[in-house]
Amino acid sequence: MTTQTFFFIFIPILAIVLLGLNLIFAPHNPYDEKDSAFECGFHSFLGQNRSEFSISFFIFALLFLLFDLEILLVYPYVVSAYVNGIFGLIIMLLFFLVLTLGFVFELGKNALSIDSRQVYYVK
Amino acid sequence: MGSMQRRIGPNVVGYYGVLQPFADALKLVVKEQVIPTQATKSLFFLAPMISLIFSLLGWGVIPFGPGLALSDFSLGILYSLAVSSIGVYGILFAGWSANSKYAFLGSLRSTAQMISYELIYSAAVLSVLLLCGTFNITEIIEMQQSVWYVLPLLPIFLLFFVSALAETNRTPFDLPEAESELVAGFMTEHSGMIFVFFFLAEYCSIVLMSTFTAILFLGGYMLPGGHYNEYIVNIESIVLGLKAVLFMFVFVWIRATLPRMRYDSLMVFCWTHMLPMVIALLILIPSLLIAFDIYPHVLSPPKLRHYS
Amino acid sequence: MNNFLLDFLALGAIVSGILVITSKNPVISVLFLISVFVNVAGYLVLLGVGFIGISYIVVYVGAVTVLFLFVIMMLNLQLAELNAVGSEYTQNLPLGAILGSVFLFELTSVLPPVLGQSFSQVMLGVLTTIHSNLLGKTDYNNVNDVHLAFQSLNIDTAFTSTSGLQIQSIGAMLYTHAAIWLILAGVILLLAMISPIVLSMNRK
Repeated sequence: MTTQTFFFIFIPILAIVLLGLNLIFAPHNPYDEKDSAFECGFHSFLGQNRSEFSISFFIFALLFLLFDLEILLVYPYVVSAYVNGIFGLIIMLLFFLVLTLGFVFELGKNALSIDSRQVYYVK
Repeated sequence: MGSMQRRIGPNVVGYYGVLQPFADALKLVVKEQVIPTQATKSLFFLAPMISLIFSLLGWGVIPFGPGLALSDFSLGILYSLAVSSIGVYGILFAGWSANSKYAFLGSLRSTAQMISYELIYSAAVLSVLLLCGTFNITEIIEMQQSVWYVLPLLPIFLLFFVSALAETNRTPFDLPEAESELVAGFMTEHSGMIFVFFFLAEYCSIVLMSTFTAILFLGGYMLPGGHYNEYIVNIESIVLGLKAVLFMFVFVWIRATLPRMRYDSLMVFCWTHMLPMVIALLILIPSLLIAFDIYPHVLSPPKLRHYS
Repeated sequence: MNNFLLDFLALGAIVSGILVITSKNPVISVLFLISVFVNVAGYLVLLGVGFIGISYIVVYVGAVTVLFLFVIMMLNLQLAELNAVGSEYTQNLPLGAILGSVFLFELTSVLPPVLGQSFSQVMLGVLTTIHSNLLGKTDYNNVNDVHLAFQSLNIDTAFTSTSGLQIQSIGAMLYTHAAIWLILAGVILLLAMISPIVLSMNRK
């Protein structure tokens, strides 16, 4: 068994052992008030708990996916840049240009700003 | 941190309060675990374990001497990035499974923040790799024999450090776990040992990020003149430890000094200010390297490695 | 040890795949999808293609399933309306049977059966006949021919004779000979960037 394998097996076992320690040593008296969700003293309704959220989170995750893929495609260039020479550099710059065009588009459309829900009252 | 803010921090337990974190952790082990009634129990217990396990697994490729890592993987940097990508799920599942709106919103914001700054993190690491030509962490440190990478890559160092602060949910980016704003964010419903898991996972990742910064930018375990250690005593791991401690001090210093950023200005800062800068640097650095013909390359291909 | 771990990871991937479709809560489904990706990534790393394996974790587990989770959490599905009972369940069975048998045919035409030499030779005879009639291939003389087609040591050393490590050779090819595919991938990513922004824009 190599060191890495031992390491990979040891760490989940450590986590489970620590969890088991807590289950052994801790008292366990649940009652209704204690078990309900924490809302600074108010009771929570069952249907409200997982409400919908704004679309900007989805846009963040999507843009993260696309830029992550771009960076992943640049990893092979990073280690082989000498072999590729100037031609490889120009290809990489073209690739970045294509993605920068998309980025400029979404910056221009202001797609990443989270809109404030405050209403401005005119006095 | 107490002395930085001119107040008395905890100084009762141990000498000058040094043992306070241990006392906190031990107290939490014997506390009861309150499981909310509508929680999804499997995910509720799984999420902090994911956080802790993947924070600890990231230590497998850190070298404490030339070649002295737990596994001197030839794709070491990629492994560290993969491990920090999975760490996001601990937070996402924790907030969802607790089935309370505050925990859920806190975890969503924290996840979006972590993945956004993860992008800057990987791009900054990519820029460092352009100067190294290899993914192996020991070789990155060995390549810094002539100059530590903090000098030629100072803007990358600053961007990397800011993204490391945001990845570990530290001030000034700690709105998701801010104690005065969202109760405890995604950790609200977790108590007892599983809270210790989150607590441990956060501090473990802070130490890991500090060590990683020391490896990539300062010399890692390398002594300043590039001397080779010929003695039995492993001085190099002490050097690595000292450099990591320097960065941990800066983490705590920043926490004691700066106020918190509001969430939308935090995200706007990442996507509209830092990302164009890091892309621009990613275009600049290989162009400079090609223009002056100073790419790192090997004159003969290395011998075959075995991935066992 | 390597072979045991390969079998274990493959079994884990199959079991996780089955649990993806049969679990009730959609978030648990995505959890098992993550488990599928992690198992497959481990399998790829053990086969010798380390870069592809770890990039599975970085991209699939790190980005794609986060996106899936955001979408599922955004939809706020009520579990009671998701479970199909009674006639809604049985009317989908014939389609499932057809698709399952098509898939099983594909699978048995690639995998060698390992139940015993005589049975496998019979099966191979059947499959070779089907293959030669449908697709024109008559090569599979022995079960071991299929095993020999894929060896991890060959993959490791196939590219490394002239240009160093595997990822360096990927880079060398991708940015010079196959550069057009890279730019094409960039255009696809550009398209993917523009379309959701246009779709989710607020018209003021």
